[in-house]
Amino acid sequence: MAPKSPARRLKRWVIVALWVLAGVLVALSPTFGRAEPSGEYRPPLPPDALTNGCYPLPEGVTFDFPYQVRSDGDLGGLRILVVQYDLIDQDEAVEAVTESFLRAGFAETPLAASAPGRDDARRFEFAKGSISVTGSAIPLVPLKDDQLVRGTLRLALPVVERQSDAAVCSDATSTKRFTQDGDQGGAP
Amino acid sequence: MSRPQSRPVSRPAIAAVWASASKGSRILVILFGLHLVVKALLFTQVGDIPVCCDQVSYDDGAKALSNLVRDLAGGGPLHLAELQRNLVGGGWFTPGSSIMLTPLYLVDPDAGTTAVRAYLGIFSTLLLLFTALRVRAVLGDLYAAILLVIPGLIPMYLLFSYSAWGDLVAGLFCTILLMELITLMRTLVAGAAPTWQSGARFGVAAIAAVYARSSTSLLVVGMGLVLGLTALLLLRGRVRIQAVLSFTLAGITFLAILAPWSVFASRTMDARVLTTTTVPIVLANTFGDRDRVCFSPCDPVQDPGSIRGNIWFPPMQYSREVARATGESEVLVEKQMWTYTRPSVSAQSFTHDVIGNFWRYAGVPASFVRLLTPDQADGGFLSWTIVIGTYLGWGILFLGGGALLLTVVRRSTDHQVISLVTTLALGSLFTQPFVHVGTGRYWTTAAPLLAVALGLLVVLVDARRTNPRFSGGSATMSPPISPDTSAVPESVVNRWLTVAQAVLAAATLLTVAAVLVLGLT
Repeated sequence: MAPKSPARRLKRWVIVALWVLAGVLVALSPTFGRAEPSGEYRPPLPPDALTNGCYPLPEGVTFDFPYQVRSDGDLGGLRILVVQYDLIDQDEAVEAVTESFLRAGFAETPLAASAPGRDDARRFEFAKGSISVTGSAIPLVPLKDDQLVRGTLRLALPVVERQSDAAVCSDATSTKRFTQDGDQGGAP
Repeated sequence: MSRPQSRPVSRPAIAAVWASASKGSRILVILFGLHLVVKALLFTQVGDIPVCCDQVSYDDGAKALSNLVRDLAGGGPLHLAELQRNLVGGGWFTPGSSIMLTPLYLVDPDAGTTAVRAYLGIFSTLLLLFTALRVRAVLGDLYAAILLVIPGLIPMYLLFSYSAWGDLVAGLFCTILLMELITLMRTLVAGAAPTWQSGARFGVAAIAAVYARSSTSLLVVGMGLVLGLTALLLLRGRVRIQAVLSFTLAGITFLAILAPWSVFASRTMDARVLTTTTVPIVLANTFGDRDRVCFSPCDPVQDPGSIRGNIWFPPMQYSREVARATGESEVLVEKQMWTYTRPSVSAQSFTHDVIGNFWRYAGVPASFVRLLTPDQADGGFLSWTIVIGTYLGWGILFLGGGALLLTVVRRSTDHQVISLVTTLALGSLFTQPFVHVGTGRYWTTAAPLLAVALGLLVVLVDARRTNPRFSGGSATMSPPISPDTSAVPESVVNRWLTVAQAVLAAATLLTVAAVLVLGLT
């Protein structure tokens, strides 16, 4: 092997020294304290709009099928809630919604024959005392077999006051009340 | 520049080195010095501006990684949840920028804005220097000098070099990779087998580029394919086997370094993640009907201008909500979001969006000036200098270097090789507007490669003059191995290199024409 030039030897020593320095710093690093990442780019997923205790469904109704709330807000004296249902089809969704309301003491109301709406919509109506709820389930188009999100429920409910002053109730990403009619932090 | 009189005995060592240096070396030293001066001046503008936007993710990732190193060194329990939340997050970014920042947080866990900016600035300048040295060793002084001027002196490029966005660093790694590729191609064209080391180096440069920015994946894969194909076409017998083995080592190196990330990200996201998870959401948000992305319009962007105030968070939150409701991976949800949106994309809408993306990619190189120098937001002298200097430098680089995409070089085998691989590299970067919303920082990835392209064109134009200045000597480097041992005659190699360039130029023209015709009608 040819003898190494001084410049090469120097380069080699510099590299060795840098590695040693890196090793020492790594070994000592636990004594320097811990860094504190903010986690801001991966915030915890806010709780679902119907279970966060802010604007519950009437009479303690709960949904026990997979869904996500898309929007919530008051319009013309009614609360308009838009929910997508997952994994189940239109009939099952209507069945599940019906079950939820019946469980809370509502009764099904016969539908008027000539109600307006889309051809593929299945409408429903429930009542309990003076409270009445109307809505429809519309499948997404196109609807592939393995598609998780399968359709949209639109519910017209009685307007509900904000039930809590918790911070989450001012968080529109949780309440899904984005419009001016909704609540983004002001008084209800 | 005149050569100073030599008085080696009485001069200090540095002056002696200067005196014995070639003219090219001296020019390069002066240019690098200029780069340092301008860069230092710009630090006064950006030094105390807190990192924003995606940089927050890189910064958090670096902090979590530094804690991981601490835990490993101290034998303490590993904080994997912290790593998952801060390094992987939604799986949007490869971890290169976080790794780059990790040593800083390892030494100073509470490093503030100024320290972060200074560290990023020093890192990027060292990387630029290393890249320039590689370019000089492979292509010669002229190419390195161009690199140090444009992009090395473009004001916005220097401002970006103080940021943690990986685009600029990825571009430098791509350039280093290109130098490795040219070296390997020279070896192959000469009919020789590349060494193990050169294969491993290629793999390391390739994974460094992908780690910095996953948008370089196509470039990296393309370069690997070019190498493999060239070896199979040009070499025979034992040399060919050696070459294949060397490139296999390159692939293994690449995958071995990628694997820890892929495995960790896949486990975090509960889905197969090779580099990032972003493709479906990016396609949906870029080209799809925004009213369909979340199987409905996504939630409105909250607090525009805040850290999470961009169009990427609402679809991500949506995918997480569906994942929570269904128990499936959010990555699967995102894929289905794109599938659902895709029918809304027509050839017209797609090409129309591509044109918009390309404009934002190449037409607004100074659009980040307010974000990086908010003190100058009133449009003062410095702000205008930055903007004008950037448009000037980038304009020359983009139009000059970009001309190589349409140029068929026939001068020599080596020039042909440089032309072909640089064209391929640029072409693969310029596919980004076809898949992603454009922004005024992506050009920093292409910039150093365009400098190489510009260098080649300067050499070619210069060579046509009666007294060429740059076509020989240290200004341009010729291949160290003379191409006379190849299994394929050089004339045949020349012909195929000409054909390949012509095909690429035609493809570029056709693509541009098709996009313009469809997108503007």
